[in-house]
Amino acid sequence: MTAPIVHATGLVKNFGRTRVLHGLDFTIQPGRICGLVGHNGAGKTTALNALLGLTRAEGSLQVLGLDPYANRARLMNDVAFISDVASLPRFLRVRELFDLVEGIHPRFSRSKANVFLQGTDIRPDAKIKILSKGMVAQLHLALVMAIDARLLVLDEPTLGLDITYRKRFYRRLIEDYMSDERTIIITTHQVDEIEFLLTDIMFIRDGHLVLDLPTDEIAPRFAQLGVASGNTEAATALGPIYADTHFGQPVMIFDGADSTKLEALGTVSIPSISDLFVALMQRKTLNAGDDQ
Amino acid sequence: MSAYISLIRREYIEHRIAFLIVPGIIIVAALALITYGFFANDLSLQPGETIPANIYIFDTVFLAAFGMWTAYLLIVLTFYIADAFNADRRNNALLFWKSMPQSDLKVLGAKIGAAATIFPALVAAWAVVTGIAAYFVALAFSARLGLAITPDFASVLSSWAQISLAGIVYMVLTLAWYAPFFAWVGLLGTVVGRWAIPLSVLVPALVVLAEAAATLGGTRGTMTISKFLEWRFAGLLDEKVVIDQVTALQPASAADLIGGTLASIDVPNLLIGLVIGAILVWLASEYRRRITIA
Repeated sequence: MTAPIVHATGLVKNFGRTRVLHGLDFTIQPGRICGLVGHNGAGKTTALNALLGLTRAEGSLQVLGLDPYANRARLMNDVAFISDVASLPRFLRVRELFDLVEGIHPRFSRSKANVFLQGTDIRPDAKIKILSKGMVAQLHLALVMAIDARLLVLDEPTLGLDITYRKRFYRRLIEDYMSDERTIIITTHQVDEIEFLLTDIMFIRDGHLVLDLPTDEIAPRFAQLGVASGNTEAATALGPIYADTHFGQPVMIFDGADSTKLEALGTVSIPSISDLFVALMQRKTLNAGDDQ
Repeated sequence: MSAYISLIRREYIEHRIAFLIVPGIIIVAALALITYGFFANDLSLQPGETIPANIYIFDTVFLAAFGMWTAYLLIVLTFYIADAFNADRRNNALLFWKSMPQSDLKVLGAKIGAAATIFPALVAAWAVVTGIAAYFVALAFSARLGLAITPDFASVLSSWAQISLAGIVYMVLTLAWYAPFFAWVGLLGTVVGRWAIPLSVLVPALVVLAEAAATLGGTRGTMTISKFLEWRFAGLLDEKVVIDQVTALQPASAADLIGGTLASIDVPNLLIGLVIGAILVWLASEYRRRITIA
C-alpha cells in the first residue's frame, strides 16, 4: 500500500479559548480528489492551513511524510495551494510574476502557465493590481496548475469567477492536471459544481468531521426516498437522518437503511453530495438557536 | 542562489522608485536651485574674500554630495526595511509567499540582501553621477567668479575617481555600522508594521529614560546604555579627515580619505553589530514563521 499523502490524528486547533478543530482524524491517499465541505466558520480553512504548515495544530499531522509546520518551505516543493483570497503580489506585472516564480519554485513551468492563460484576457505586460478580481483568480489558478506538485490544495478556487470560467477550470483540472500521482484537496461552497470530480468527500461541521468517505461508497450507504402517499409514518419509523418536502412530497434521506424496505415505501435514489450536505450539516445557530 | 537573486529582484521591482527615480529628481531639482542661486546673486568676490582653485571647489561639492547621499541612503533604507519586512502581510500576500518553497528567513534575508547590495549600489551610482554635475557647477562658478581658470580635466577626473572610491567605501562601512539598527527596524516592522520607525526610536528612548531615572541622570551612577547608544548613533564620519582634505589644496586622495575613515572605526564593535543584526533578522523570521493565518 502506498504511503498516504495526508495523515491526521487528533488534530486540534485553538484560537485563544475557542476550539476550532476538535480532534480530526483522516487520511488522504495519493491520486484522490478530496472535497472538504463545510459552512463558513466550520474549520475547513483552518484545517487546510494546518495541512499547509501555515498554522500550528495539536495532534499528529503528516503531509507527504513531513510535519508541515516544521517543514513548510520544504513541503512547498511538492505542494501547491491557492487560498480563497487573491493574494498575488499586486506590484508585479504578469511576466514579472512568472519570472519570479520561475526563479523561486523549481517545479514551475512557464510554458504550462502560458498555456493555461490562453483563452483569458490577461496580457503578460499587465500589472496585477489593474486586473479584475476574476482575472487575478484566473492568473493564480494558471500559476498553481503550472507547478508540478504532488498535492494541490484549492480553497474556494473559483470564488468570484463566472460560470463559464468555473466550468472550464474544473474541466482543465481533470483533463490537463490530474493524474495518478497527484492529489487534490478542494473546498468550495458550490458543492454541486465539483461533486462530479470528487473521489472522496469530507464534511466538517463546527470543527468536527461528520462524514469522511469515498464518493463511490455513498450509493451503498445512503439512500434518498421520495415517500409515496400514505407511507410517511412507515418511512419515518425507519429513522431518516433528514426529512424535507419537495413540491408537497416528503423526501427523506437514510444512512444504512435496508433498501428493500425503502423501495416498498416510494422512489429510492442516490442522494447527491449537495443533498447529503444539507442532511448532515444541520446545526443550531448561535443567535437564533434554530436548526438551519 | 538563483532563488535569492529572484527575491532580491522582487525587492528591486517593488521598491525601486526611492532608489532609482527619486535621486534623479533630487539631482535635477538641486541643479535647478543652484542655477537659480547662480543667476540671482552677485557672486563677485568681495574685498578680503578668497577662494581656492576650482579643483578644490569640486572636491568640496562632491564630498558634501557623497555625505548627503549617504544620509539619504540611511533614511530611505530605514523606511524601506520598515515597509519591506511588513509588506507581505498586505492584501493577504503572505499566503502567496508562504506557498513558495522558500523559508521565511530566506525571504527576509533577501530584503536585507537588497538593502545591502542593489539599493546602495543605485544610490552610490547617483552619487558618482553627482560628481559629474559637481564638475559643471565648479566650472560655472569659476567662470562667474572671474578666476578664469579652466579646471584641469585630468585633475578633476582623478579627484572624481578618488572621491567616488572613498565615498563608496564610506557608504559600505556606514551601512555595516548601522546594520543592527536596520535589523531592529526590520524586526519591529515584522511585528508592528508601520509603527516600526517611531518605535525603533521610542523603545531605546524609554530604556535611556529608565537608566536616567535609575541613576538620577547619571549623578548616582554611569549612564552606560545612554553613552553607548549616543556613540553608536554618532556614525563614522570623522569631520577632520574631510576638512583636511578640502583645505589641503591638493587633489583628493582616496587612500587618505579611506585611511582616515578606517582609523575612526571600532572594528570589534562593527562586527558585534553585524552579528546582533543577523540575530534580529533571524528573530524576525521566526516571528514571521509563526504569524497565524486564520
